[in-house]
Amino acid sequence: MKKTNLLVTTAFLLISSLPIMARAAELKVTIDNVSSDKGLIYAQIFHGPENYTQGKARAGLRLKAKKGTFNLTFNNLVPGDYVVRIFHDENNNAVLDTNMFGVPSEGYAFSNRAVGNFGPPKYNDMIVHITNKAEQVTTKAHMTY
Amino acid sequence: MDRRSFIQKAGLLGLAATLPQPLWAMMQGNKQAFLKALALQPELLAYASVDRERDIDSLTIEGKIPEGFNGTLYRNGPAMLERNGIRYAHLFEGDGMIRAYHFKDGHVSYKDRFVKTPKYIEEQKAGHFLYSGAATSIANSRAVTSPDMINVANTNVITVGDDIWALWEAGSATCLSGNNLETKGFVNLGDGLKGMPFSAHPKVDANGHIWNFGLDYSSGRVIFYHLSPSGKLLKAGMIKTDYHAMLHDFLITENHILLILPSLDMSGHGGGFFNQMAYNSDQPLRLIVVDKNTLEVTARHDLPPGFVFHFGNGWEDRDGTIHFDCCHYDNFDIMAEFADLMQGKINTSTPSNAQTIIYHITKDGKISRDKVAGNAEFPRIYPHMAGLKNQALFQTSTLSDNNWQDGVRRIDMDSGKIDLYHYGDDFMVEEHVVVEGPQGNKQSGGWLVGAALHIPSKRTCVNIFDADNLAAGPRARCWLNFAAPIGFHGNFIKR
Ligand SMILES: [Fe+2]
Repeated sequence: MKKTNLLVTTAFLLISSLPIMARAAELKVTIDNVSSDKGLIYAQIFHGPENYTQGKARAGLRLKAKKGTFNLTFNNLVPGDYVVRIFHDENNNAVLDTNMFGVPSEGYAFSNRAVGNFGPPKYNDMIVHITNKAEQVTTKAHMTY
Repeated sequence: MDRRSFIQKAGLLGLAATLPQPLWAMMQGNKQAFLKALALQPELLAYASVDRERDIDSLTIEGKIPEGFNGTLYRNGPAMLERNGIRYAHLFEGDGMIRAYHFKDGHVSYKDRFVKTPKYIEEQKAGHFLYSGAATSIANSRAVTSPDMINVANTNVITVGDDIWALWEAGSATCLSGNNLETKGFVNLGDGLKGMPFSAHPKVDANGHIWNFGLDYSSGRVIFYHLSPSGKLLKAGMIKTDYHAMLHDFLITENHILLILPSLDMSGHGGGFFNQMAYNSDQPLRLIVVDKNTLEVTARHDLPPGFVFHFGNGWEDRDGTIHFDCCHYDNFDIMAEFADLMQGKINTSTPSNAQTIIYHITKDGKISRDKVAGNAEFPRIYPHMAGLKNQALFQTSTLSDNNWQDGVRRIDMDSGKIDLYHYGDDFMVEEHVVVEGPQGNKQSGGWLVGAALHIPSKRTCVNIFDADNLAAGPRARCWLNFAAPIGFHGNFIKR
């Protein structure tokens, strides 16, 4: 079966490779509707529209899945606009599986609870603003299966 | 396939196209217009919305149910057509309801249940429509990211083991218990097939194997399925087409799958998938022949333009000549008529009627065709004759000046002789299905069974005919004590 490369794992950067800033901002993402404890939750954060369009994630997280509401946090962020995309890799193959017509068959979610209509959400619908250096911002995301 | 393909192409039907607010007011207008018309035209009961589920222990029987006629007739059709004052713009949008007529030793009971799809459950909880349909734009409708989010499971029902599958052409099959009609959930046919379209017209061959297709409207790709009698995937394969409109039915022969693409394109200008489809009289009806073993295309033939919902049967000669029958329309007006009647408008002046055309296509592409007099829809054959040379073809027919079916007929495919029963103007006749007799002969004998709405008494009855003698009229008529809206398709199982 072909797999999507939406959240290609090789694109994940390690947070530790970024310069450590004192009192940097952080973004907490609260994801609801996680369907099971199976597999892993992958999340990527993008800084600005160019990086999003080019698929250049600023950071990536990979965490053990947990049924229900799931929290994760990106830290060491500078002020700016961010979007987060997430998927639930239930079968542990490190990709978002799709069916043969390309419709995702595993859960996926976006910052700001953005939902697409027959496609991904618009960039502007996913944006989370971070205005201050030391700000702690929270956004919600809804896992769609 | 990558995520980009989903992103760009999963525009599935543009099903949930957002339309301006005034249209929403029009949707409320639909209900008012329908109620007004219903008061004058009681036949519109056939398209009334259902708001409850029923269990009936015993139906009133006229005549005598033939000995050995035991089993269950399952039917499916759109039933939840309105919520919170909003009436759908098109009949095909309604949530499906399964009706089960159970026959045991001369006694008949009845049960109906809505198919509890995710859409039904969410909208039931909300008390109003949450999603736009293929013709209706619902204000502030929820985003749709996969076909199954708006799967209404409203078109056909087949039996698979002890279960039944409620079918809708753009999404997964929905599994229900054959006994209590409780919904179990979407059928996932395996790795990579979750949420794939599984059309409403699978064909079951003589060995009980299930064949079906599904069309991805955005890409034009078609998937074929070959399942065991218990519904397990044996194989699947895809072909590419440039067809993006409605594809309702298909056929199998002994060695091939026949995919027949109507003369429809997506040049329409209205809102929603249905209104984007248009009849193109310059576009041939295209036959694609696919090998059943390899699931690869072996031949393509262009036939004269036409639109077809339903095919009765296909088969092939030893010399490779392919034969099939279809209920053929010369345009696509029928689709608009299904929208009009949602507002209580019945086209009585020039109603669309299908003509039965039987095609013969030789291996070297010579095409000939026969036409059968009269009009017909809902073709059926003896079960498990699918893909084999059938002698009998059963259909509903319009015999009076009605815009609905008011009769049933059997065509002898060899002699062309027609055996006919006219229910009369007081009845609206649904699809009738063939039940094999105790001797199990697949070409004669047995029964024909189907529902009809009796307009004057506002009741639905199920009628059992001797399949060899329709003209003699029903041997038994089993009455519900209410009018069940007209259904589309169903099947009978002897249990
Ligand atoms: Fe149909």
